[in-house]
Amino acid sequence: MKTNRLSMIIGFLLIIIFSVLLFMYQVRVTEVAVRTRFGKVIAEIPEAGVGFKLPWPIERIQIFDKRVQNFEDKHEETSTQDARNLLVMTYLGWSVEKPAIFRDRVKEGAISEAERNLLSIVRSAKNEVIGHHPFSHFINTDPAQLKFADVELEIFNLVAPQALNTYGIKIHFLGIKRLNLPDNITGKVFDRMKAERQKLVAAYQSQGESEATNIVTSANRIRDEKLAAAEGEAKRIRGQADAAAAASYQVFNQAPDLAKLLIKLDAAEKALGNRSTLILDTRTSPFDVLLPQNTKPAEKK
Amino acid sequence: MSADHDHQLPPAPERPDNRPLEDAGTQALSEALASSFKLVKVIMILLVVVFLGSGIREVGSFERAIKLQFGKPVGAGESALLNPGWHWAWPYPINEIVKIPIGQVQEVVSSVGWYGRTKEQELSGIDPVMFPVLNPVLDGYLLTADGNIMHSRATLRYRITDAVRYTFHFSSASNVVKNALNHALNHAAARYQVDDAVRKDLTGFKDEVRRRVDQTLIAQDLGVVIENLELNSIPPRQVKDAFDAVLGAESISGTFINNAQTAANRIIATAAGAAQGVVNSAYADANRLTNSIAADALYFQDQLKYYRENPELYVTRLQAEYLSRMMTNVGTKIIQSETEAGSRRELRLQLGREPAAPTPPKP
Repeated sequence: MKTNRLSMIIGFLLIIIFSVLLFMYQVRVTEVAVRTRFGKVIAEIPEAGVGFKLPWPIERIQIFDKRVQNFEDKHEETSTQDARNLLVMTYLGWSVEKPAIFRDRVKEGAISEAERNLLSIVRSAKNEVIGHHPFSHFINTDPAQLKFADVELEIFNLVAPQALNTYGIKIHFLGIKRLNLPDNITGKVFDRMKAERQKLVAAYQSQGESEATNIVTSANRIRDEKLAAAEGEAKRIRGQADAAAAASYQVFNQAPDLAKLLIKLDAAEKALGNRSTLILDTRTSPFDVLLPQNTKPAEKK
Repeated sequence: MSADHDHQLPPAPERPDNRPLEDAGTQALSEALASSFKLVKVIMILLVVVFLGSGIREVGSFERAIKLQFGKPVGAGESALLNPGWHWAWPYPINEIVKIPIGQVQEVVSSVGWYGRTKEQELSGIDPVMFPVLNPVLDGYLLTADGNIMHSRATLRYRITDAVRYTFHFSSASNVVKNALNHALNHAAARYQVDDAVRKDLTGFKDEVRRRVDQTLIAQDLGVVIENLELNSIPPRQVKDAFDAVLGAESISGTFINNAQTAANRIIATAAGAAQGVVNSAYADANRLTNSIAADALYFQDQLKYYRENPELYVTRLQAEYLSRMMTNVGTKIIQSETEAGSRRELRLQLGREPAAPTPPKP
């Protein structure tokens, strides 16, 4: 009796497991699915979760990875509007947006097959867009002339609707991963770079000498200006002193004769140095006392 | 025959009872089955235990995890994350624990801007043979705004902030980040001149790369945040000597300018000193003049009363006094007397420097 009960439990469990396998399905958060009935798509299952289905071969659940896939196209040569050859590689992020279309149009719903199809679309769009832009739109010192992002957007705008409508693939982003020149052109670029550096060397040498001269000349000018300003200031100071002295001269107006005498005597004393020769005649006071008329005794009245 | 038939056959010997033998066999079989069944039961119980325990996962100290239930994450945002430690979940397909390296800083290295090197060459630091041109298949490089070529290698470190999105929305999120970095290098180089990018404005170039990566990662909603960016930019090896020559010329030019600046500083400092000297001298003269006049005025004021008492006498006395001082100081004094007849006298003078005094002979 015990054995029978256990057998029944096991049997029941097996039936449950078998039924679950037959009638239920699970779609993970990273997946998207389609439900087909006798091979025809009857519903898309965009969200994760579990659900019921009729058993195979009536219904079938086909699951696809819905995560954003990272795809890079080939590093291929293409030509710009002004006939410059460029090697451009783009990258893009894509995911299965419409699983029913994806299932029908992409062989076996395989990622590799989807990317093979994308490669064709991207290549065509890339060549078309780049062919409408001059080389200066890809690299430019003037940000206003640079159209790098615009080029990427134009390629995206061509690829995205085509991928969605044709393959049920959503393009999330697209950008240029590599932008290069053909190998023989790189040699010419190197030659130009060397020539530019030689010009720079010459420019630096002359610039250094010229700037040094300018610095010294400028310093000399500053020196002259400073000295001139100082002379001016000195004049102003002396002028102020003269003005102050003139005020002091007022006192001499009380006896101008005496003032003149004192000034002259001072000047004369200062003018005569140790090695001066002073020639006087006897009429000069006080030597006039030596004159005969001055040596005679005064007559008595 | 009948006789034979009539003949009573002796009763057949009674077959030995084989029941105990059958019982023993059945019993043994039964026991074997019972013990096998017990074993099967134990195995089944063990299988059930193993099955139930198969959902147990350890989340490491630098990891977080997300539990999926029937394919959907349990919880949202931060509450969906399981912390480090042991976690139990129902076995697949009911539950599933997916680990996420959220605590660790992730790192990607750009793959488009550097010349081709093997891993061995990378590790040993040896550069490969240099060719006169770059092979686009092997060598990465960037085109700069002035149409030149440069090499640049960026290392980006980032943290995952939205684990659910980073893990479940992208098949290879790290590759998306890497391409965002490659893309940013191209964008930044396209607007920078080679000299600025490799030397003069390294910080500006790096900031531009980082800004562009940040912008792309936000637009792509990757659920990451940048920790830091390392950037190494160099001119191509083929033109390195030319770039070095520019550096040398720049250095010499700088030396010229520095020397000139030093000389200029000296000139200006000297001029400032001289100018200050001129001003100071003026102040000294002014002070001297003012003081002298003040002293003269004071002296005049003192003498004025004596002068007024007898001007003639005062003047005579003063003249005599001054003359006396002057006569004492001057080197040669000549008093020329007047002739009686009032005629002129001739006085001859020899002017000029005095001959140097002869030095006495040394003993």
